[in-house]
Amino acid sequence: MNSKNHIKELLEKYFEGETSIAEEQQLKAYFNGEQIAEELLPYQDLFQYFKIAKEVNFDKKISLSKSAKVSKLTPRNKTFTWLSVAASIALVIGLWFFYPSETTSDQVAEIDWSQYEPDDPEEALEYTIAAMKLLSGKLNGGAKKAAKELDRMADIEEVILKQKIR
Amino acid sequence: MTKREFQQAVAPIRDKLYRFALRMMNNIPEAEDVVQEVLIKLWQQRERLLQVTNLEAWSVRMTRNVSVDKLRTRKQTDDVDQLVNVETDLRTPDLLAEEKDTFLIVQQAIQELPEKQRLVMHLRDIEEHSYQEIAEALEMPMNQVKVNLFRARKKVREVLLKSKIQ
Repeated sequence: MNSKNHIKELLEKYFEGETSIAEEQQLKAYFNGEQIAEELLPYQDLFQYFKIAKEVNFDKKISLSKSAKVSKLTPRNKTFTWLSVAASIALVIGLWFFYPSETTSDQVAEIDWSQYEPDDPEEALEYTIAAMKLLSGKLNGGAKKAAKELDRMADIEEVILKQKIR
Repeated sequence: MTKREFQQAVAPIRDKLYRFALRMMNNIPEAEDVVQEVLIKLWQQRERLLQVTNLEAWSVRMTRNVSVDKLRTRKQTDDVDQLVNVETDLRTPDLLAEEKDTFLIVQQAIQELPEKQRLVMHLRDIEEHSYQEIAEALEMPMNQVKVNLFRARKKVREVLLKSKIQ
């Protein structure tokens, strides 16, 4: 029954996925037995493993009381929660420190001009006149400078003319 | 449902759920956590259990969901931890007693399969379930169960033979 050829046949059938549970049990029995044909030895570990792996038992006692619900399963999750809490605190502190320093050092702070705006019309007029005076002062300054330059040009012209005559 | 009735109902499947969780989590303490959570959830829904037609398939689905959630939080919280755990020796004391490194090759080959293939192979080759039962527990059409099983066995065979050559 458990001749080498029969087992070889079963083995091929097994790897084709066509054996029944009874046939697979035959294979397990053969490979867990004493006499195994040499050419079939490579498959011994496989079927011995199947048998051994089924003998693994769950020996732990489990309490079904309510407290058991949170037992043992939580530490890993707890560290994760604490980590995330710590991470968010670090993030907030980080933002607190980095955000303002960045704006003062690298960027020109934006000025809220509205606070300098005058609220009564007379004051506004004064400001406008002052501004215009400043502007005209600058413009006049420009004109004076231009006139001065023109005078110098005239002087130079005069010198040149005098030389030509000579 | 009394505590005793509950324990009687759950006793035949708790080892199975643990083995399934191990297959999902690839890590002993986490698999224990999963089973604990599943058993507590089952206890909280104990009144419904009486109406469940297939408690085993139902619990396997629940184990899978709890594991998926756990894997998700594991990804979020401790990627670094996990890097260390990838090579975890999954041999429980039962397997260690055998002192066979070759089992580690088989085990790793199975653990490295895509999830669906890994779970189908586990439920078939270790737990000896019918295709129908697997389809129900994994919420998968029957032909998908067969395809995944075929691929899983093919891949594991390849790894196994390769390791024998070296």
